[in-house]
Amino acid sequence: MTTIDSRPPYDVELQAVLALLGEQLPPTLTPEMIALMRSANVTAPIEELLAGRPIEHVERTIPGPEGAPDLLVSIFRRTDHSTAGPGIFHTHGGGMIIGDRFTGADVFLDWVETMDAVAVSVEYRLAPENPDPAPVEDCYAALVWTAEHADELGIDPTRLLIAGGSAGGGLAAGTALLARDRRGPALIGQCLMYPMIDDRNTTVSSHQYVGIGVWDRGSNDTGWDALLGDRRHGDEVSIYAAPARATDLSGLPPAFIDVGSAEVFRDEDVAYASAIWASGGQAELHVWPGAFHGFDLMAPQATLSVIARATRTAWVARILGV
Amino acid sequence: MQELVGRLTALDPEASESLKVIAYFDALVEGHAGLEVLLRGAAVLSGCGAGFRHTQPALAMAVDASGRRLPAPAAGEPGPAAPTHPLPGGGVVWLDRAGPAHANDAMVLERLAIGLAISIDRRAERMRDTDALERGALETLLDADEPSDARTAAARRLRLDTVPLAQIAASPASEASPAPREVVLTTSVGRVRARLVVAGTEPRVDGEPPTRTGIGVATPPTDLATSWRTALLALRMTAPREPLVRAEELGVVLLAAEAVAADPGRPAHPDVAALDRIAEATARGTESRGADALDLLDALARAESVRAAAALAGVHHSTMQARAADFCGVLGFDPRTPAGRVRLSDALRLHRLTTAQFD
Repeated sequence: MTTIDSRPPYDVELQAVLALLGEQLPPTLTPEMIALMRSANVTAPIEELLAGRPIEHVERTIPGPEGAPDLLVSIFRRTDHSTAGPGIFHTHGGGMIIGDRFTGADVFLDWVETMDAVAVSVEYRLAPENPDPAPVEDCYAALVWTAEHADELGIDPTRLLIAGGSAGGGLAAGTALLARDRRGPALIGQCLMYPMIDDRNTTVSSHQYVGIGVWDRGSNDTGWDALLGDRRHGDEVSIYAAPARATDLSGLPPAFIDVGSAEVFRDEDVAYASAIWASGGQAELHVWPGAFHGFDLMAPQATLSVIARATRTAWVARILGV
Repeated sequence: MQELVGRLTALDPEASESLKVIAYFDALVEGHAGLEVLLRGAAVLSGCGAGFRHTQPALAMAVDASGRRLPAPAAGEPGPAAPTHPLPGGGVVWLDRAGPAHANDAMVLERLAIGLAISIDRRAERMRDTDALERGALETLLDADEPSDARTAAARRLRLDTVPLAQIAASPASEASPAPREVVLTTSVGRVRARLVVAGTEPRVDGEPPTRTGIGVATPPTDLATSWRTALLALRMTAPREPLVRAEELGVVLLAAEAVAADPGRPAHPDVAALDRIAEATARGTESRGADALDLLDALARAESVRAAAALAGVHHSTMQARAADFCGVLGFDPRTPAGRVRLSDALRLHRLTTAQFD
């Protein structure tokens, strides 16, 4: 299949934002640009995000997967946190190749502040230096540690939610599958924000965004090539790396999936929700019309972003019972 | 990918970033963004609240620094020190900038003003288009010769598809002031304005003197041609003492009126013919005994007694007594008896029906 030229129109407000952002970065991230993207200060300093919020930030070094290096996690909770509250285990985005545990933090910091949740965000190893299964195994190891240390962290272990956006959404879905198959920590829900879950890059939407928008087809190739190398497209790719390949999605916690109609991940994310339903599971799916990848983070004031965030937060509150 | 390419935040306060401002507003205007989206763009780019007030049509709106719409009372006027820019077409835009202006404030305001003016023009154009489409639809509904699918589509266009009953209010075109959802039609009795009234909403009859109005029978929206036909009959039967006539309150007179209107060549009923002669005599001036004879007859038909009729017409009791006796001869019946009053009332309605003309 070649590039498809018909595409849903962008939301007017988001398109104007895209016009400005487009000048800062070309739509396609190539392997040569990984180093530059990592050195550029791409995520706002965490102090800036925490300024004015009654939230304390603690860093802990915890054991990694067996035979792998230790991991760094950041823990966020209200300064007045006293009784065990809901837990949010966060896996950050960045195409498997960039970003850090603070990327996208303002979304879960809102939940920490308003729902008195305790958030744990993990600094997993990035590809291509650390190909699959390093990232998802790091995430799983940190999830196990979080569940085992729930008391100490001030988390009610029966209310532990996993959440992540983009590559972090894919890692959250993969970690939830690992937890199911290894009879690991019980999760109360999985919040998958425009998750990156399909290495095959064969959907219609993956052919509609080539050289335009945010995280286009070429960027997706860069990310998946880095994670899977020669195994990509073959039969050896695990469902924990690319959850879209899973055929049995039963026995998973309720899922929340949101995605823009104007991005590469649209069709794989819609298909994932359908596969969950086909397996008898619960999923809430939102496709935001004319939204590009990561729209609510890049243009938080836009009407669609405000509505999408409120919708997501309402689901989290409902699942956590707060 | 998330924030890896940054996010849209306020511009550098020191450095001029005109190109960004222009690109952002150009994209919004090109995408036909609404007023609030334009205002939010100014707020996000400048990092402070923004507002505008437009004179004609009167519009005002304000947002805070994060682009959230402020409640109406807060959206009125710029602060005394706020940077402002005039709106083309009247009004002002402003930024709620506390402290010294930033390098891009003037450019943001200029582009905001241009964007708002274009958006306001487009709104007005859309409303004109909507009015024109609605008028076309209403004309279709009022035309009994239109096929039923055309009338169904027209009812949908007027958003009447879920409305059980609707009515037409008819007024002389020269008297009624223009309003949406109404059309002016040329009829055999002159130019008449037909206004759509959804049943249950009281049509207003105001002005001094009140606008003569006939209200048609309530019908399903696709049968509004019937309501229009009866509204026009009711309008033709209005009188100075009865400026509003409802077809549904006419009783069997409506049936008589329909028969008369359907056959203009038919000879007048003797009662009506008598009134026609009285009216002609008044017009020729051969009837020279003070008050207008038809006005006196109208008072006799409406009042309970000759004394009350005299008061209603503003003439002396003895004058009314004398004239009433005269009328018996011309009419061939006594309008002072209960049966005569009803007969006179009906004849007066049909006389008005056949003589009414509107310019």
